[in-house]
Amino acid sequence: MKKAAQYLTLVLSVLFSVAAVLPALAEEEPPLLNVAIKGKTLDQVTESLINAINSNNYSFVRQQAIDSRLVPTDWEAKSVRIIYFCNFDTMNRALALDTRASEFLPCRITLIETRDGVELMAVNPAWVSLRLGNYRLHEYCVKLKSDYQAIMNEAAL
Amino acid sequence: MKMPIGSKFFGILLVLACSTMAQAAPLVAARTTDMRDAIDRITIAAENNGYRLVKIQAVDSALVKRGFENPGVRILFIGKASAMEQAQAYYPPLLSMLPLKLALIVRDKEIVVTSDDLDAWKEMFPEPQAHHLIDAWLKDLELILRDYVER
Repeated sequence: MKKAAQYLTLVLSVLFSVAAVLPALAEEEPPLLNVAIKGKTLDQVTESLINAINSNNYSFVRQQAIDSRLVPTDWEAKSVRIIYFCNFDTMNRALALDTRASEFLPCRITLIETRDGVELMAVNPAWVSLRLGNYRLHEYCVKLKSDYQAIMNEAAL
Repeated sequence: MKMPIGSKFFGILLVLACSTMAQAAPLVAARTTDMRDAIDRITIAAENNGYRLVKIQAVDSALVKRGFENPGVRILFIGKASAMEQAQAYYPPLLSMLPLKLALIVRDKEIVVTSDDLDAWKEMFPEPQAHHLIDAWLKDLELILRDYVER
């Protein structure tokens, strides 16, 4: 009985430590990943982003205007676009680890046309996973974050 | 009654661990149904509250088609034009969070619907104009999920 209580105490200590440390680390992760691309149009950046997605072993899923299906097609916003992509193998592994991975799946990058060019924005999956407190999912998300950065930086070249 | 020190320590740890893990808190609603009916109900609930279904991301069938196990997850995107316009006008970084996303997860005979964690978004975007919009969307999502459960 005493041994069982000691074991449970140990398990809870580890659980508590991990749960306490991960959200604290979230402050060290930026919530958003941003890249500003100067001197290019939205269409040019869309094309280079899709190429970067493919060359980083992800599949392009679709692109849409931010207000797609919410307004008639002719009225859709021309200056804000969303690109969805995924890697089915890693999506499968992430969902097997934790269904809350659906918070950052499928991957998406929002493109906003600015006066100087185009800004790319994406939610940092590592920031999300730190808040969720699942260490194994976080390991996956750190890799996902570096893939996002590689894709966004490649699109900016 | 005197409580052994070990039990007290155990109890404190349990409370601390639970409170720490409770930080991430998306909205959750569940009802006994199947995936097809759940999608219909959420679509109607969204429309009842001024939103439209933008896209169903059939993660489950996409993975099964590629030889993976069925995770029992579908993702629905819902939106309304005014939310997009307000985000663009008052706080453009919020556009990266739109359209709003709901995950439908199979749990035995229930379909559990979870939203993104909008409280986390408030940490992400600490400015008052962002909070104003996020609070409005949070209220909308609460109504949609209540509608899903109750109708």
